[in-house]
Amino acid sequence: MNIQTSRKMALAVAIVSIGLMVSYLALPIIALFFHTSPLLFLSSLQEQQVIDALLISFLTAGIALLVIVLVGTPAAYFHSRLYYPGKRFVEILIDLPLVLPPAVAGLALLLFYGRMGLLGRYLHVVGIDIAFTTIAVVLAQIFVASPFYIRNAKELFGQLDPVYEQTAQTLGASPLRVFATIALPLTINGLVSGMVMTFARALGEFGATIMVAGNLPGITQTMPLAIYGAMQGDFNVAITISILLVLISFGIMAIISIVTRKRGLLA
Amino acid sequence: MTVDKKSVVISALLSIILCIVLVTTGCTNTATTPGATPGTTITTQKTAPPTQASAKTLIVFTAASLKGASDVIGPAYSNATPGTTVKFNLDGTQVLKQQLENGAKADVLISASNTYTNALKNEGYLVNETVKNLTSNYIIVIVPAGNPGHINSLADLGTPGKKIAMGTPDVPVGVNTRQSIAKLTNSTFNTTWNTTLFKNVVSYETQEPGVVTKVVLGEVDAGFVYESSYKAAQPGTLNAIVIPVKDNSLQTYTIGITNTTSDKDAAFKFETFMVSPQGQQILSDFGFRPIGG
Repeated sequence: MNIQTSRKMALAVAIVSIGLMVSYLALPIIALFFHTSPLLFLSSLQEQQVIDALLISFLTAGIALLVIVLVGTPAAYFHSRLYYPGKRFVEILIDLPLVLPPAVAGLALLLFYGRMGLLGRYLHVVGIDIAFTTIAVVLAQIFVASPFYIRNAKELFGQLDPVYEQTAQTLGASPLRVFATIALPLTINGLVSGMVMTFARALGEFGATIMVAGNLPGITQTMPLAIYGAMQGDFNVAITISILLVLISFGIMAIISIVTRKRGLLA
Repeated sequence: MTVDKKSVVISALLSIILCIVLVTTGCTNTATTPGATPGTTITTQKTAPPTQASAKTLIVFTAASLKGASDVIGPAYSNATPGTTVKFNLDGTQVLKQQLENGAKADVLISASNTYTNALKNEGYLVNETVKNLTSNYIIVIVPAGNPGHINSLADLGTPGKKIAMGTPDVPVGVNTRQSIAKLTNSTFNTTWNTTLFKNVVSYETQEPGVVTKVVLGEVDAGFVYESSYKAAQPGTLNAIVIPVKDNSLQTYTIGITNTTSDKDAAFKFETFMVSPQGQQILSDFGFRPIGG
């Protein structure tokens, strides 16, 4: 086969594989839209259950993301810069929620934070109950979604050429200044995409939530829980929430993509 | 870069050939060579065509409350009918109904709700003549061992500050729970009790074992479950508060063959087993009541 033919074959493979990938992802999502009408969709939007699920999902996932970023960024930064005893063990620990089935994570959280739990029993004595509250939803989301951000941040900081930071340090910059003016701008694009994945994972959390937070509309019923419940009764509500999730996720991704592209030109 | 017609045709042909190959390899019977190992006595036995006729797998969609019972029913049926294994798909009946309506294949359905059974019969997913009553169940209130929520009577359920778990409005146990609560509100208590009770609910579970788990773990003060779950629980893990029969809501379970079954005879044999004394005994051992309570 000469070089021309093999290049044409490559193009054919490109078309087929990209076509397959796009249709595999897009067609089921399009099927969502086919199963309802704009009228049904808009009327379901006003159902209290839908509004509640929307608010709870975004509130909890947002708080979870905030906590993960605030704690995870310095953790990832120093983890990648320092050597400390047990570092390898911590690496494994960070990845653990990724391979743990969410239901297991939920059970573990319940056995820890629940009122019979390891920590929960002492909190219960002072009147603090965590299980079955909105806080429990946030805790579950933090647990399952944090690896997405921390691993990502860890890699990004680790790949930074230390020469820039070292130069800044020799010039007398404090660690905070070094981080804020050198490390952060260079990694911000990657960090933001890590945040998007983390937010998405937190938003979609189901198994752990139902175990430790329960399923209560208006308090702990997130969108995935609402979809699962609605699927068993009112199909239209399930489809509405699903479409909402698709549209919102798409919107967020689009905004992020535009914003980071601009920054990418500057970085 | 223009796409040359020739390379497009070649890639299309290749993909078609690939598809044909994949489909045909998927369809061929794995023909096992009935070779006698050298040295064994030569018996003229016509080895039957491998596997297909003898080993059967029955898929039984079952209401989740039969979780414990199914662990015994499966082996018992395999003993009674050698060559058949039973695979149970346990979930809330409302979920099973959705699955059947969306194309899932099953041989038998054990449903915890007449309403859902009738809906499926009307929609044509069941072989209507084969649908029979199987067993029944009452609703009961369970509390964890040690009674951390100090719930000693049905009245206490209406005390503010308790944690209660029950089924969603769609799962059969949830439907009957609400019916029982409504009856109790009218006969014994009042609307304040009713309102406070529902304010006390911290979780609506999509299947009955979910409620049981939350109570067993002691994370909720009380839960509305089936009597069978209480009777079959490990001794010492649960205590119960009975709902009087007049206020209770009897759940009638039905069994029926689905219209997606691949072996109607095998499915019917299983159904017969379940309504027979042997099957009924297993259900009774797990706390289910005979048909009619």
